[in-house]
Amino acid sequence: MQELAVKKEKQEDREKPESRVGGGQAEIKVPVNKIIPFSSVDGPGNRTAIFLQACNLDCKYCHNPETRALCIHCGDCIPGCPTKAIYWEEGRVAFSPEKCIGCDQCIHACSHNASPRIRRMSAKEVFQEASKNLPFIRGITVSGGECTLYPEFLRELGMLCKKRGIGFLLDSNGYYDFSKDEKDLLPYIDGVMLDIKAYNGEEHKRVTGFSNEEILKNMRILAEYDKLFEVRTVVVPGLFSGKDTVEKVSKELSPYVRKGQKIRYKIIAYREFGVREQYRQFESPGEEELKALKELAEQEGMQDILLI
Amino acid sequence: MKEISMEKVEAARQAMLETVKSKSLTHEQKVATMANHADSLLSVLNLPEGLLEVLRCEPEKQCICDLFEGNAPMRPRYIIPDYEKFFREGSAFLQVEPPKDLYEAINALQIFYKHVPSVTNYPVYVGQLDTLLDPFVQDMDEELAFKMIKLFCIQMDRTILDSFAHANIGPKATKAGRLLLRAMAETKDAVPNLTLKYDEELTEDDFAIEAIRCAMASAKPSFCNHRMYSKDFSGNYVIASCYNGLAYGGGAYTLVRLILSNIAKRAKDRKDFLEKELPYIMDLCVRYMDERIRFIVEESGFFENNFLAKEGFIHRDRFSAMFGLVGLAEAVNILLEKEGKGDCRFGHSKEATELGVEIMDCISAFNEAHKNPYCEVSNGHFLLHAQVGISTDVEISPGTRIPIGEEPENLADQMEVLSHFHHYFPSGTGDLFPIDRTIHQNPEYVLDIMKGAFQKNLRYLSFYSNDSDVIRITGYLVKKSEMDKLKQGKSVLQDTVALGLGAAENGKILERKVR
Repeated sequence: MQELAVKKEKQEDREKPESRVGGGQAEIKVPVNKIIPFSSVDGPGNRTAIFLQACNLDCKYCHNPETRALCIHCGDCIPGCPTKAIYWEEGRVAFSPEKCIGCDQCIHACSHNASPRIRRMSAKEVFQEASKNLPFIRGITVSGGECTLYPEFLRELGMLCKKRGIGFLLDSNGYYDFSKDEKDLLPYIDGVMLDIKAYNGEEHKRVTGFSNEEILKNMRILAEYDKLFEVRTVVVPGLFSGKDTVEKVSKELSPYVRKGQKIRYKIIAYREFGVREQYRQFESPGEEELKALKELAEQEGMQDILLI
Repeated sequence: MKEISMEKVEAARQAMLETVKSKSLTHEQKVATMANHADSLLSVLNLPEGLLEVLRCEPEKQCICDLFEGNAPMRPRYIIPDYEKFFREGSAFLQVEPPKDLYEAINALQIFYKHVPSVTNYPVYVGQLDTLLDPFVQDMDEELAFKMIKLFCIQMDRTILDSFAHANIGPKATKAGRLLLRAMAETKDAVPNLTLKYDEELTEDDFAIEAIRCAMASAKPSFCNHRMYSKDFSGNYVIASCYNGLAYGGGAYTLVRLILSNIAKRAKDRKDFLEKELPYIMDLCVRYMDERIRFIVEESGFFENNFLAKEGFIHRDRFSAMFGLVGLAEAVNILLEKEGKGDCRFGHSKEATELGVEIMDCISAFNEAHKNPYCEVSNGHFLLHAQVGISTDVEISPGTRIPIGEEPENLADQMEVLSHFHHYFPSGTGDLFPIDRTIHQNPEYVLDIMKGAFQKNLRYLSFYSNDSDVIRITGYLVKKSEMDKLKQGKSVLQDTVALGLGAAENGKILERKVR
């Protein structure tokens, strides 16, 4: 369901007149949920982080559920907006960023895991906004939602970054076939920070609703091309075996680490913050459990392991 | 010497008795305070007419402040000895030979520090410690060297009893530099203050990262724009006290500051401020400074008699004076309000930045036009200084800083504003940023911001972790736990704790925007 909706939206983009520029060449505009000018947690150093809207997995512990879907223009969020930053315009929900006070009322009112506070931006526009943060940033990271839903956008933004000589990383759930795009996308990205929600296929379905065949394949492809900057696993006791995932992922990646590739394993403790009401039954892992996972990854040959 | 009234004598006697009986001052603090009381009885300076009305008056009208230098200065405010010469030649007066190993080097420094005066009686500059100690740590056991350096740091913290004592390291990595960082990250003490002279082309990234990790643990070092300072001082500068750039082997006779916000209150409008009130106050200020300098150089006998000068550790002609200022932000806001533009706030509007620049240009031009015969090292002019404030300042932001609580949301926007102002101040300015805990995992975040800032011509930056005990108050370091002790009426070792507590209560320094 989710995936279909997204594909449809992409087609709409291409068809809309505003998404065309002179010469008839398509300029893709994508839904941008948020741009954080200085981020310390989206890759190495200081980076501008771009969060695109919509995701094709359904992780139970999603910490940003409001980025999961696109707005269906139901208008449920309009009455609650204290500054009238959200309003009706030609039957669609519209948003004035300058009026927004960031109270998040609209997010709470939305029952579709979407956000009305979306700006539709082209790669050029996103790049221009991020460039304001130079020379303080070393690069841009695109996150989500799931950024690989918009490969053309990523390619263009990656080209702009390369041209300016700054870094470009993707933060992805890996549900995208990089093997098909090895010439189109991979040359323009420095690397991917890849989520491995679970190694075991059944467990992965339990966590995300989808199989992980594609994701594991991608992990190998990205490692093969030395484009795997980081893998991360959110540890949720009781939902899946953190031990099994950390062990097997580390085992698969350690040969690349031994070759000198720098692949970080970020092991993240589940926290309740932001998680949807109906899934809040999980508990955070203890410090001991995390430490044991770190040791396990080390034993399997990973060198750069970060506990968060 | 002019006479003074018996009322003043009686007031001083009362104050002295209170000092003697104080429950919260340590013995050292009592002795220093008694000396200040004695000084208050002297009257030796020829003060410019009109000065006292704006110097000794109620706080909201005070336009000039001499920062507790006293009535009869008997030494320059800040002294920057040539420690390298001391290591090369030793000192006849101190009966110390040039050191031959790390034991002797640390011992020699500890002896020397005891004899470097300043406005607070403690040395404000304790040397470029990495290059001073580096030759001695080369061929020795690293862990022994580390232990000795760590004990040296602890000894400084417990005996140099205020945190204006400042050590320098960098720009290049050295073995001793790394040991110093390691020691200070462990000790997490307020003394000594520390600056890494940073130059993107000279400073190794891994050394800078070590320094940032140390800053996250102990709120030091701060980082100075080495290229900018080298240019301002033709190479030979140090960072002393809070963040004061001064010439090596010299120092500063005096530091007097303009309180720009209170000067702005006197003015009818922008024109009146720039053409009448500000020049009037600046004129009083520089003539007062001239007089203080004259007394130190011509009458106090310091440069003729003190061993530092006699043995050539300092040179009279490498001294200058610091022309300080505070409250630019408030002055700009007050003047814009008078023009009916109350919604333009310093830090948030182009117009406010432009007015700030106009005021700074005015002060800078005035300073360039004023000559003092004893400031040869700075071509006869004073050095502009963005003063960090004192504990009793209320609604007066340090130097040209954006008021706490009004920092722009985006750090890049804040940096843009700052980049217009840092270049005016060779003898020091700086901005500080509490940093969120998550950065402990990503020190490169701070490095990137620093590189960007120095490319944008910022001069001096400090970062500290918002959850650490030792924090940077305005320019100096204090432990929160020590402030708590003092608040409960207990005595504390270092003078600067009281200043920090005042700043926390009056200056909202614990409420800075975390980045």
